[in-house]
Amino acid sequence: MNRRDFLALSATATAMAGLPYPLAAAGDDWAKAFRAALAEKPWLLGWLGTNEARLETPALSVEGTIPDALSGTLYRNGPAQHEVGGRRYQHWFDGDGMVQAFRIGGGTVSHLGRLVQTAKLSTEEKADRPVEMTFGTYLPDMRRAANADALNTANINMLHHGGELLALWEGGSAYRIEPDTLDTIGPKTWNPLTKGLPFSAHPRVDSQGTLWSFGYASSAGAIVLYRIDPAGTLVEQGIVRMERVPMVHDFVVTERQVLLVLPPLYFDGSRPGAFLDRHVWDPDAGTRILIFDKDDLTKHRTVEMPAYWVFHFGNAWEDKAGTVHLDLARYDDPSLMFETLRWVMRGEYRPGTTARPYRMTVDAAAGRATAEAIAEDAEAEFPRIDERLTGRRHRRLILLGSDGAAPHPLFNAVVRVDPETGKRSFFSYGAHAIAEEHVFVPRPGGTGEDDGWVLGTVLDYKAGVTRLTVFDAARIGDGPLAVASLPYALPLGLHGTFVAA
Amino acid sequence: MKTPTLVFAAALSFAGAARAADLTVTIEGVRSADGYVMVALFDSEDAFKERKGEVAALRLRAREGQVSATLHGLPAGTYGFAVYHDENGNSELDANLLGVPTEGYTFSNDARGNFGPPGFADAKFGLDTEPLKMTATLSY
Repeated sequence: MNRRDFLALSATATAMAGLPYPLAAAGDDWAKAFRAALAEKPWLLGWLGTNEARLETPALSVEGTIPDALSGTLYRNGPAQHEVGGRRYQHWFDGDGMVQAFRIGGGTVSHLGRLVQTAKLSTEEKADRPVEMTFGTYLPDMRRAANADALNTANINMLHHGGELLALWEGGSAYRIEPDTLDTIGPKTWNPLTKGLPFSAHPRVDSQGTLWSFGYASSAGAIVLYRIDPAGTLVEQGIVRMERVPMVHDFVVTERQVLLVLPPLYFDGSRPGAFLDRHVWDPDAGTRILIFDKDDLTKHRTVEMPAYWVFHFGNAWEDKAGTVHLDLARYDDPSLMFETLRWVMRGEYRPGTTARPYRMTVDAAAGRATAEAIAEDAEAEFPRIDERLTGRRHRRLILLGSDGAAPHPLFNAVVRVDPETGKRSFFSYGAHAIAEEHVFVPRPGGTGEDDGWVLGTVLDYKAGVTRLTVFDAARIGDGPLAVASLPYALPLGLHGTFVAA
Repeated sequence: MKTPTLVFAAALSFAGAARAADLTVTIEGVRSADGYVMVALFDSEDAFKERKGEVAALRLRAREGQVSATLHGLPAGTYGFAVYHDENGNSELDANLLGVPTEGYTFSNDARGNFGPPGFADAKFGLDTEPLKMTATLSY
């Protein structure tokens, strides 16, 4: 099979099969505008959403060959229920989270997707309307946020640590999920002191097996740091008090340090509107980097840089001189979040600034940080690495990119780049695809960043289906080894994790 | 429903006030019969804000569903109340290290703040000479 043709081949077999959402649903103004636009812009299928609490396919149709040695589950998460009682959320990040489990083994793939049964979801199922204000929507009859977990949609990422599977948000508690059934067990309480505190969607496990996380508590004026041992016990929490708390989506650890990068997008509780709208972009304040020694979270050094916005980091490591090298997807400002990812929910494409991969160098002793583009003019986001190297020197970044031919605001290609040489390999899924995050999976017993596979999902909006693809990590440019297709389109998700069998 | 046991109540009767009325407080959404439902009634913005100087305090044995009690002979005025479910019976509203409550709570008018407790303006209600019934639902 010519791997580059796989999307076209599959399209004929499964065109517009099994849409999980009734197109004719009655709705509010945003819902109506979205459906009208969907008829003109088929790529909006990725933001249609679902009201199904459960989506299941026992055996996906597979083209190509899934390696026998590839065995485990790709858990993914993302906003999925974009409408409640026919009323549509006004930001992509608002939707109730749905956990997707792609179970891979013996050359086959099954799928189970279930909404996370958050407290918010339970309240709104009874009311049959959106009750709680959300990240980006504050309708007149929504109630105010009594506390952070009232808004918790558990819709960003998945973490498997200490034998527990967690669905992660970033403004409140993680939610425990039963790994096989995807039943929601309930909010995760690490200890009484941190009950209900924000827990980020991007925790990092270092080479010692220690899980590091943080949480930004906007209205409480603090950022919390978490150190969790390999068994899943919280052994230390730290607090950084600050007058103005910025929105912080991700962070990094090295072997010795924890770095919080704080873009100047500050919470201002006196502003009206939803959580997002209570933030002010203040570029004059610059972007600050707080550097903590892992063995003393009570103090930090601060390095300042010109302002930029960032959601995601690839990895960071420290050289012998103590300089930290840090890869990120860097934006000039957060307009993508304020404009593009809001108005797409109404079916409008309002461009914002795009992300480019950068290598940042932080010299804490000199109080200096600089950033340099990894590959000029290459738009890319969702950086991932071989996570065995978290906090240590990595030579491969896996990202999503674009071939420039896609009419939508996200990505249609997977990119693998050496952040030190800029050497890239690239595979485009074509004009009718929206690629979702791709992750590296090491070959069992293998070593090195080339010895394994790259797994990801992609929405083929022409065919109306979501597919799981498997690449040889060393040969991205050759296209996927295997493509497993669902008979339906999943709502576009955010992040995930592979748990080996 | 049986009347819940009134374990402790301060200043339950205000007989003698020139104009007085009864206030019945019903707290709904009590998730368990563990511990107590604590109600504090305030008659000023400052007292409500500081949660100090309450004109009445009720400690009602919890029961799943709802609990209710009546305060008799309150002087006419403007009031607000704060409620929490002291599930572990330690007579404190437990909170995490940033001070966010980790036990169920609510306020009169089911008032909610924005990312924090509500102000008196949202929680206040007037009591004249007619008996008044107020209901609020706990959030956990």
